Amino acid sequence: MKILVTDDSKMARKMVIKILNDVLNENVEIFEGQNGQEAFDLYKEHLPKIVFLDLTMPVMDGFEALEKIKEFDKNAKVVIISADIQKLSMDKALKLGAFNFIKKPIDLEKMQQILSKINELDK
Amino acid sequence: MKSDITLTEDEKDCLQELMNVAYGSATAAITEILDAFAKLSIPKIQIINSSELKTYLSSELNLEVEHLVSLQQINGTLCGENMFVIDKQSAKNIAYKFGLEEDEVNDEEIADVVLEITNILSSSTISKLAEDIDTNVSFSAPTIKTLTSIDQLKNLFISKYEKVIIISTQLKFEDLDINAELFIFTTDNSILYIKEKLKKILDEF
Repeated sequence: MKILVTDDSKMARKMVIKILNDVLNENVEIFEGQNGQEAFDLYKEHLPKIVFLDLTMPVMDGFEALEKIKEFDKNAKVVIISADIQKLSMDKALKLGAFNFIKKPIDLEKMQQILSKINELDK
Repeated sequence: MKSDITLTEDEKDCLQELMNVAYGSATAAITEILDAFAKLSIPKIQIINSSELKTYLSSELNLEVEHLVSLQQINGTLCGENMFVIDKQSAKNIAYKFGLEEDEVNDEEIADVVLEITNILSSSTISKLAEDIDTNVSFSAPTIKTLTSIDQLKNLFISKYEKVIIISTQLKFEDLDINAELFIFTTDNSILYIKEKLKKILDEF
């Protein structure tokens, strides 16, 4: 399974990747992006099954990247992981087509639930 | 004993992310009160010589217009000072947003609003950061003053230290004309403590 993790913080990316490696019982190929533009470019190139996307990033923020990815592929599964936990930000992300929203610091149970939901959709 | 008072790129990145999370939750609390939407910025982390602090602040703050500055001492292992800086018009706009009428907005009311924002924003940000790096902090009551020149910042007690770590982030509202900046200054021993904790966090990944 291909997964794209995008965050301007290397530590935040490592944290997500560690959780993914801990909870997923399958081989995953992980791609890392540092901003929204890289997320969009990597999405087009690799078509990952899931995208984890931060909101507050340089070059292109997560909202714009989400919009572009959804325009390119309306079935893309983009999960926002952000410290911007304002209700309006969450609503905006969901309105733009985000599959779900995870608040930082990441709640492991929530992450597992989302991964299960995505897997269920494939069955 | 001279110690290594610097942060590696990975340590800076880690601290930036911790600040991002801490500030994100503090901002959400403010936006809920103000019923407004804030645009979050990426926190900036720098370590400079304390002798350069005033020059740094002069370049960061536009003091051509009157600003209000709220200072609050942080006590504990994480020791230092936080400084919330807001221009007077932004502070007035927050006061209106709090429901005050134009004829009610005087210097005293504005100061009160800024102190309240400082308490919510600074205390919750720093408390969360302290929790993340496994320590406790206490705060002195914030003081407020009007700032038109950087020389008025005489009580920055950190000037007696060699280095200061500056963590700064902005508070910007999209539909409300408010701009403000939060600085957290910590000192030599605190920097070393933070560094040690960051190393531990980084070792986990």
